[in-house]
Amino acid sequence: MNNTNIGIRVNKVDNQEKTSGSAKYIADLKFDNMLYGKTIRSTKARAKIQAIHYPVLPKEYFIIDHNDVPGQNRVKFLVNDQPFLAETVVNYIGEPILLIVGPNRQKLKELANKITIEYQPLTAALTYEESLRCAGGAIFGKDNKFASYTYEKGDISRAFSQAKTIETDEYTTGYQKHAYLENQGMIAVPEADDKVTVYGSLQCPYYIKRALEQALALPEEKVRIVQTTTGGAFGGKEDYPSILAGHAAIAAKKVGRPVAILYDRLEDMASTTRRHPAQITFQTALDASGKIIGMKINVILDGGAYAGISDVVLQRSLFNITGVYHIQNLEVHGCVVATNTIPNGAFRGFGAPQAFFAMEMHMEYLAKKLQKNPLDYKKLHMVKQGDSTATSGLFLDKVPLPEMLATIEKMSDYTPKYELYQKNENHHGIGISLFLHGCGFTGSGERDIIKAKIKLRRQANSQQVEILAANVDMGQGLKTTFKKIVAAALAIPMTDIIFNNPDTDHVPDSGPTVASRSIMIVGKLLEDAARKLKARWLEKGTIEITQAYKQPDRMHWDSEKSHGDAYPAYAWGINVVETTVDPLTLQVDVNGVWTVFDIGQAIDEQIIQGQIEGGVLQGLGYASMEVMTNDQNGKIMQDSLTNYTIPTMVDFGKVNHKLFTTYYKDGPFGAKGAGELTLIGAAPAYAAAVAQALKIRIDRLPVTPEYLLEVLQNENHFLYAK
Amino acid sequence: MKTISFTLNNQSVSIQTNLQKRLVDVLREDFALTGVKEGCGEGECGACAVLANHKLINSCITPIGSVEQLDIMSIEGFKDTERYHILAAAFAEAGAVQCGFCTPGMLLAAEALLHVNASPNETEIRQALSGNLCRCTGYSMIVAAVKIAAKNGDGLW
Amino acid sequence: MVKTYLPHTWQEALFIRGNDDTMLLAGGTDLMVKYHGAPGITGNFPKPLLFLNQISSLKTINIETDSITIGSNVTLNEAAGISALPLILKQALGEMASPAIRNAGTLIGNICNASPAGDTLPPLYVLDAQLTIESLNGTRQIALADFIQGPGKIDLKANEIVRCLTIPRRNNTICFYKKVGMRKAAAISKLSFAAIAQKTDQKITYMGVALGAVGPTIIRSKEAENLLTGKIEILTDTWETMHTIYNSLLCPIDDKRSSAIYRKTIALNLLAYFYKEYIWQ
Repeated sequence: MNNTNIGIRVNKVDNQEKTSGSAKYIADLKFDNMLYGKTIRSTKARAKIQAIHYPVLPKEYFIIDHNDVPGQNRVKFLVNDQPFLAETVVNYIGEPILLIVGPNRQKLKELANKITIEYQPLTAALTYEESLRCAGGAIFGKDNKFASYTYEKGDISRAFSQAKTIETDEYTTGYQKHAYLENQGMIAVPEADDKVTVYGSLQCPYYIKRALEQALALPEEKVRIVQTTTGGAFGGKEDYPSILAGHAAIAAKKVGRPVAILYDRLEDMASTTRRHPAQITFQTALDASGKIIGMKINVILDGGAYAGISDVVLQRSLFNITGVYHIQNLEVHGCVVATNTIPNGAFRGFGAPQAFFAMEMHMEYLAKKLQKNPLDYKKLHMVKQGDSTATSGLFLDKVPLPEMLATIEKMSDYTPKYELYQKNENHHGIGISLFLHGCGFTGSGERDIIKAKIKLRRQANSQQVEILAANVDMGQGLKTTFKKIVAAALAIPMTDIIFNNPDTDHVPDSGPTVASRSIMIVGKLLEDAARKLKARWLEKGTIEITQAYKQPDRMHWDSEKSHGDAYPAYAWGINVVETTVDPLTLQVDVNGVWTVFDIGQAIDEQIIQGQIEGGVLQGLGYASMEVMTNDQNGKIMQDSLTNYTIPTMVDFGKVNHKLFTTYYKDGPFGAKGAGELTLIGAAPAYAAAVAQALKIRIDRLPVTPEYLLEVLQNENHFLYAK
Repeated sequence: MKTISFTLNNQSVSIQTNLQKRLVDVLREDFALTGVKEGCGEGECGACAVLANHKLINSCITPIGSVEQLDIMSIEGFKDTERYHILAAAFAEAGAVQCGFCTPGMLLAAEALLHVNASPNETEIRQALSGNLCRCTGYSMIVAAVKIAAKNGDGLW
Repeated sequence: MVKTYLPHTWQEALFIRGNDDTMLLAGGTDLMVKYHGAPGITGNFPKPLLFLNQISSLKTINIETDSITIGSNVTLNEAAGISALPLILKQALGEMASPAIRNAGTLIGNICNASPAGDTLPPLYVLDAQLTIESLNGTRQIALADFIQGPGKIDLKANEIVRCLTIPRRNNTICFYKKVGMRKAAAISKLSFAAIAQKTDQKITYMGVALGAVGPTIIRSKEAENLLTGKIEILTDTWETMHTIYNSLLCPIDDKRSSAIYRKTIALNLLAYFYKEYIWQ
């Protein structure tokens, strides 16, 4: 296989075990003497725990509380603020307080029902407004801000003083739940000499390993994490598994037996992370021709009760906030605030979907205000190679947007349809979104924090090569694509490559499976290592090649000032969505979806198609039907897959796509990141289409029929008069 | 406890059980058939789907008392058929498998459809598989897989 | 765990019913969700369970010239397959739940669940369906609209079992069904609308309109229907009167699936549409 045809599809290496049902997911494993663990959770959004009353426990049943945590009772994230098990206060409904462990799950449930917890309720902060005024006292720090950033570019005060008009505009977005089909679960197994092994459904083996070392006060060699076949993740198994693995391991340590904690759907829905809701405000300075000369933007994310990785999510929202547009003068503020709700976390796109929805809809809004065609208005501001990024870095590589636009216009007939639907009153609409994805970690995270390392090993007298890396296949096809990269670089058959589920006793820390980095960063390390191995192929004996990450020389980032190249490379996308709205019910039909993406060289075009079809559908769900709200007490209302609706096979049709290939020299065979990019553009394209169909302005996600009715009634606009 | 007798993957079986026990638990725990997945526990996602007298049902909301005298087929039984091999090859060819958690249920839903309609059109496929959720693939590649299977397995259904 | 019964005959079932306070389970697709089990944990049933699935006489479907009778073990899918089934019910069954649920859930189970959002109810209300209920003490017939008393509340005594459902066959020339769900398949209704009518020589000879999920039970107004029935010429202000009647009857709620205002507005839109497109001209 040579480099130019690496993209040609192959059968995925794990098809057979998955179609036949023989793949083992975490809930399919059993260990001798295994006990089950159940989590007892807070029923109050914010309260002091006054007393806990326990039933008499039968033999083999145990209670675990915060006193049983051998090390630090804090989950290791960027900030150590979240306890594994609550101590004196609880900060959200669903916060873990106790574990109850025993052999029979039916009995565990009965015992759990007999535990009573007395609370002294405290005033909870459930909204941005309550959080910002620290209702009930700060949950976090002094001001309830987990993180806040400000950055500037150009001369913002001059731009605003020269402005002909200034437009102000605000957008809000809601939660989204990952709704991976496999619920979260972990099994911790105590081993000889104080060691513990944790098996589970996860994205980031080494995040969990580090969290457990801190929680169990154990040295590195005493904690082992093994990934089991993972039934979807989408970011949901990036951060939360550290908590869950901690629970299982703390319990296993106490009772000296394997402990399985396997969530059912209701518990998974009501206690694991969600996408951050956002509130984004624009003040935009326009010159006499209507061109943008400056923007002041404010972003607030709702982080939930604990910091987790919200800081990094906020960074991605902020550094991508101007979308694909070249804005010369800029002032960006943002913070992520604490509320007494379930902590929010990583989700495919990681702060970017909120930002792109807001910016794309703001561009639509400005164009309409100026009575211009929105696409023409967007084209007027589109970045090109050599332009500066929002954070004053540079778009060093070719920006393929013009060719991509020409292609998608042809595929979708966007412009003639747009013009037709502008005139018609028959509730058709078409929307277009332009977007990018900064591939890999934000800033110098890869160099300064992750420091990825992989190994390739060829045993003596063997033709087989083993990949030793900590990245996981969670459905995105990494087992296939990693093997493909190494096989291609070595020019040997894929069947001679071994890549098992990561086990931290055997694989180095090549970093987490997040941020669309696995192919671009880790895949490149594999390619480079494979080329070194090829050069030494004729050597006798075992060969082991270690390859460590080095930041591309051309990238410059100052994290103190949020200044410079926030990302090493950019992947690009354009989506067009066409809709018809039923005037009777305000239900939306999607008549067509067209997409173009530039992700560099695809390592496998069919796997990329799978990312596109799945990512776009998840984006359309986010745009339309995936409603999640809290009740007045801060409890989630849509707590099951019955009430939290994700798209079925009949809700949306085929996603048409075409790939562009702008070769990226620091990615394997020229590949960039793909997984997250595919989700980002669906919501703004959908919202723009619905807005045109109804001739209204949309400023909120999700765009439900209930919301549309509210907008129409506010505008005193009745589609169906009696 | 009562005795329930049924056919499981072509074999007659009997089990002493409480009738309200969920079929999914009986299959996964008592018969170690872990290809039957539990995704939602309320009949919403189809990961636990099995065939009962060749019709698709959700084993998570089927009490074992309802299974008396039925012919139950899980992926473990189906995988020994020629029709399975056609379907599995079609899923591979179309790239219809990602995380794999919905896959056994999807295959059985496809089998149930093809059993009554050997050459379904796109709408019929989407309707027949509409109770099987997938969060990875966006579904279209699964639809393509069922079409490929119908073509390659012409005469088998 | 509760006690369970698995009778093989109708008489046996009636006898158990007469001697123990049981909960009836046919397909179980509603009850198993309501009393939710989890891996290794059985559902939290409040009463002993009486399984009906082994009683073969309850599988009966009888098609007569003037009615169709459907037994308590007939699944939603089997009911949908009855060729003589009124179109309005067939449409509702086709859009209801998912194929796997329709293979297990029963039509009479959906009735006895008595959810305000029960998808078969609005069609069965307008079809004037009747239930046959038996106990060791005898048999009685009851109109569906009388049988359902409130959300989850039905007129079924502890010793009784619903044996079958009877749907009168009429030649409905007009049929309009609309389910407004949370998505296009496998969805619970936010609201639903079912209307049928017979029109002979420009005259409405029969009419039924029922709305689901906009009140504690299905809403049907004979008063409003009578405004149209038997009239040759429909006055323009008839609509106003009808609208007023339904406007005062519809009392939906805000919940996790939709808003009261959406439910009411859209229900009235559908009513107006039906009136304009099917009746007025």
